[in-house]
Amino acid sequence: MGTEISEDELVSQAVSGDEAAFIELASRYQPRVWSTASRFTKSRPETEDLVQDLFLKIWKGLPSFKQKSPFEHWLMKVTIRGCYDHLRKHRKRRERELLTEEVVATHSESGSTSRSLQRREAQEIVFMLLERLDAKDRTIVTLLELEEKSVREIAELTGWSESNVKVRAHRARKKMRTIFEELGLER
Amino acid sequence: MNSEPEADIDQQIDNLFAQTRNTAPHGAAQSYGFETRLKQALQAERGTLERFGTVCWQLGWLGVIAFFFMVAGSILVIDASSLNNMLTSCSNFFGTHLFPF
Repeated sequence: MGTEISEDELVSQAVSGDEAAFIELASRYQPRVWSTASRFTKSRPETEDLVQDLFLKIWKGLPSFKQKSPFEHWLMKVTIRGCYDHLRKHRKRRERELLTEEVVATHSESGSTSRSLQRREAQEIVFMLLERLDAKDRTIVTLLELEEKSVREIAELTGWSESNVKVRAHRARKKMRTIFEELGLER
Repeated sequence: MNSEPEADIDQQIDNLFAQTRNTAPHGAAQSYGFETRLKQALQAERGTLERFGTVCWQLGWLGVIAFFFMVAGSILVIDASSLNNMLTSCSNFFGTHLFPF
């Protein structure tokens, strides 16, 4: 015992409905999926739930996986599309939360005017900017700026055309500039 | 081309992204019972599918039985109506040909 089963073997077993093989495969890819999913969520519990939903989606979609392309590529496609669906589904709730956040933001701003932007703060500001974008723009900006994917890769992962990705990325940048100014974040 | 203030804001946004890029917003994927949760979710999923399958199976059988009764019923009705027709024609025949008076 103790010999590690190859990924191809695990994938084949999982595709044919072997739950144990799928769980082993999921454990191997969990850090990768987690790292992407956490860019689309607000808290750790939300990320945990999203990752779980994503792996359920992956399990349900396995029969449609053609074993010609690499498994990771297919898995990331399902992950990105799942994250986009998650953003769309929770849009209403996010909008409601933003209204309350707005008040908190103005309060904290008046408390400390010139504070250095540390990593945590940078993260929070990026999150604030992204939260104000619509689901499609946010998905594109996250992949482009945080996951450092090319326009072509984004088009492949999301299924949107390259020109659509480019136009949306450009518009999203413009929107972020406006939000940045509106929130008085420039230094 | 971007104007100077726009380019400045762009630069600031780029810096923010650069600082955020290498940090996972909610920490690393530590163990939080991921496998156990996934196992339970798959089990629940299977349970739902099984329940759905059972319901479909039962509905299917009910459909078959209902169809059987429908066919049997219509045959009986057709038979009854043709029997009725036969009796009527017979009585007409006997009425007109055998008993002309």
